[in-house]
Amino acid sequence: MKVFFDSILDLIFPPRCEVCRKSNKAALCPACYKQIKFMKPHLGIHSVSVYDGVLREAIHRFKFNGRKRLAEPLGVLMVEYLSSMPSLDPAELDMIVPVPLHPRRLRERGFNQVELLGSVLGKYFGLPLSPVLHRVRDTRAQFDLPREERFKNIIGAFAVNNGQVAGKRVILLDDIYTTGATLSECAKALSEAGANRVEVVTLSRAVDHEPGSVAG
Amino acid sequence: MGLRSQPLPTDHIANLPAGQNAELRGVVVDQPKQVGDRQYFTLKIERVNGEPLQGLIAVKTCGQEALYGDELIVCGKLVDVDGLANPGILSFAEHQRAQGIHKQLLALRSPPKKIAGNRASRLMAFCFCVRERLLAVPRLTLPEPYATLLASIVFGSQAAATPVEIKEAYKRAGVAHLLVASGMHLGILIGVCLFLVKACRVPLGAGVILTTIVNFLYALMAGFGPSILRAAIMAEIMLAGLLFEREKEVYTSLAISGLIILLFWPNYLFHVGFQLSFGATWSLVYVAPVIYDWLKDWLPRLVSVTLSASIAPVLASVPVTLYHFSQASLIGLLSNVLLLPWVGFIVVLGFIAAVLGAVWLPLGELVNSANLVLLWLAHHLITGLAGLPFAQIFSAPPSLALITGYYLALCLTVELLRRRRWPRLTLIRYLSGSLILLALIVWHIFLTWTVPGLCVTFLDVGQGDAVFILTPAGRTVLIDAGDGGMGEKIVVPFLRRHGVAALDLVILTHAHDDHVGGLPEVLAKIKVRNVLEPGVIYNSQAYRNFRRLVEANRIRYTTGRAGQKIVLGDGVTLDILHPTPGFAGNDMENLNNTSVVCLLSYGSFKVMLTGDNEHEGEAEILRHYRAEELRATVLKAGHHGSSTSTSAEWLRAVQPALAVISCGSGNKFRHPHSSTLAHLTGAGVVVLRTDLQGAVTVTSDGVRYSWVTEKQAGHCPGAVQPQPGL
Repeated sequence: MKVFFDSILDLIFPPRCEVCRKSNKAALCPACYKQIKFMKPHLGIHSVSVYDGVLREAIHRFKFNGRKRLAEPLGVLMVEYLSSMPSLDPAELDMIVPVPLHPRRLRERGFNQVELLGSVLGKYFGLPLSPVLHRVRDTRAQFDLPREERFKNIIGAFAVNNGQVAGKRVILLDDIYTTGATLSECAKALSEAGANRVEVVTLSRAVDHEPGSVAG
Repeated sequence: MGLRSQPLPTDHIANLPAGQNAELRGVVVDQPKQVGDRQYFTLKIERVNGEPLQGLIAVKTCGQEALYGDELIVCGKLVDVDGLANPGILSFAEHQRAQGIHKQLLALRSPPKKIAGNRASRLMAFCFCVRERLLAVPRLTLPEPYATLLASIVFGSQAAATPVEIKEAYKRAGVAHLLVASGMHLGILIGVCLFLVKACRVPLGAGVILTTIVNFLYALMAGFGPSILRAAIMAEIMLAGLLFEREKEVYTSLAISGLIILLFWPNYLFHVGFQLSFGATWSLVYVAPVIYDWLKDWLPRLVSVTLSASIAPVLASVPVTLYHFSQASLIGLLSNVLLLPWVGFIVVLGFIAAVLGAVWLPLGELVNSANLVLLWLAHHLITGLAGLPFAQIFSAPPSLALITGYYLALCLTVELLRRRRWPRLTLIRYLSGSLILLALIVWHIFLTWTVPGLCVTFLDVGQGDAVFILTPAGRTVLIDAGDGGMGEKIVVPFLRRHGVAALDLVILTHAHDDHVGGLPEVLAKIKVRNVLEPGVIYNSQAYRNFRRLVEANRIRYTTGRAGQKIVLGDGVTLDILHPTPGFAGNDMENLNNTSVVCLLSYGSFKVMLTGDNEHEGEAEILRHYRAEELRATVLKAGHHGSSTSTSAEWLRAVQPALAVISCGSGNKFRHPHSSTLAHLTGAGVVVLRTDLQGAVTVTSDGVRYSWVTEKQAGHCPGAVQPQPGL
């Protein structure tokens, strides 16, 4: 029944690649998928690729246009990436913790894109997705703040549900890694809550082209 | 290419003969229109004189009691839908027939009697009620013409009953689409709806359903024309996409809405609104991006967006408007660029004012007063642009081959620009390309090829005369142009429809209004090289205008007198037989006898064109010419077939095989006179009447001749069947 219904929907709304907009059954067509080049881990942080080109467009459509069907191919992209990286073995880890979205933003968007990515990742690696981090303080949006402000803005913004990560090895997951302010604050919160090991994995990494500021 | 007519069932009202009195019982199926104390509506018939019959009928009645959905009994005279039938011009009757209305009921004596309760569909009644309330807001808060204008812009011309002058001016300025409820309106409405729904945190499903209801109501209010249908269906697909987390694809949505519309109303395929709406939408997604890409290197973003969005629809619609209206607006490019960026605000403000005003009028008044500034600006801009010379071009409708070729070329250009390189010319591509081109050329030649010959058209201009002559050498002659309104309504459109850019000669037979009335309009709109008329002073507005325009346009002026001969080339001549100087004095009691009478000759084929010449004038001609010199194959019976013309001696001299009587149905002079008819048929002459048969076209190769009539296909002696125009 579902197959039948889907094929009718496919007829009315022909599926297209979300990035190049060419007719394709997959949300991210093979041609676009191939354009995403893996990058090496930087300072122990694993990011799939630079936040640019195809990946940037894909994340944009995923987050801001609400194209949830991109969760699958982008999650698979991360799985492929992690499987090819000897520096990180998911089998050694216990759980995936997504960076939480601001509640107001969650309401506007209707979903947390990082959680959707995490569930794909968790399914492949057999890891539970545990959204144990939550915001305890209202913060301004990070993206329109300069680097120094970001760190100040985010301090003490996160907390961990009691006892859930104590002694656990955790993958901390986010979509974009820019200055690391949010991620380091989250990692701090996790460590303080007793996590044994925190591995930061992100889908992309924004490389700042502005002179004088170095990402990380 | 016209609307295919299906055979009607035997119990259809259309089968009843016209002219009888009848008592009709049925239900009002549209919102009655009120003009003074006259009321117009469409009745779905249930019984006629007690007998069950079916079909729709247009009712013209007095009073103002009838409402949508009323079950009525109405008595009156059954008549055919009045319509002048001329080649290439869609008559009102044809327009009505396309809506399924074949007859009209004149019930001016007594108002309709209501029986039983109102049988309106609740939904439609609700819609009409909402619409009336919303339309009342501009009417109560704005001065004319801005009230009608705003109503038309917000709800479409169908709902707002926009006057023809406004529609014509907007068509001239190339912005007629502003007056059609369509994609832009629905887009704005649905955008606002979705925004409100989201702002109020309504769940998605409920929001989509609410928006769907608004969408449907607006479409119903706007009157379910093809363009609003298209927009509504496409909007629904978009909304369904929101619900199923799918994204709409424009071409697919467009195709689906086309499929749905044509499933229910196959005739819409030939509807100009359907063609324009789909063409413009297609062009906006197919052609506009290429133009934008091309422009963006030189121009700022906003300018290139606006330019591409105004150029693309024009590119797609020019062949369609040329085909249907024989005109296309050149100024449209400019006016759309100037208006497009901000005309949406008028729609938004108009919507807001209508809704607020329906709740509390002063609120609507406030918003509308602000909107008046924009409306004033838009209106003056549009009418100003429409008034410019060369605002629009006229041409005979292009052949289907030409139109196909145009669209192929358009697509090819778009594809080339999009790929930005010349495709490799393999043999097979080269071959198929040239074959298509060849096929189009052959097709075009075949479609436009006509037997070269003389063609005389007796136009149907109601009570009056208008004869158009096209010679084998391409010379054009117009004799008279009917009554006052006919120039604008029939003669000029007819000339434009047939690609007549200039008239070599205009003959005014005499200065009576049913002959000269339409001429000032012709002189104002069409280039005329020569004018010939009896020159007898007559004190009427139309004749004064005619003389003024002849002078103002510096047209060569000749006083027509018996004995003149006009050579039209390729063996076609026009001999003036009347008036003699004795019959052209300013002291002539009967102006009809000053009529220019001329004999058109092409080989052995001759046409006697008589104007309103009466017995005295005929006798005068007979005095000066021998009977053999007056022989003609076709006679235009003098003075609309009156008994004071076509004397026995005249008929004996001319000995026509065919007589044409140019008169209006139900005219107050009771032309043609029965004695004249008896006279003609008694002499074995085939009589054709414009009041019964519509325009009559006679063609000849100089030996044989043939004729066609617009309304009924008559029998045709001997010769080749000519091309019946379009």
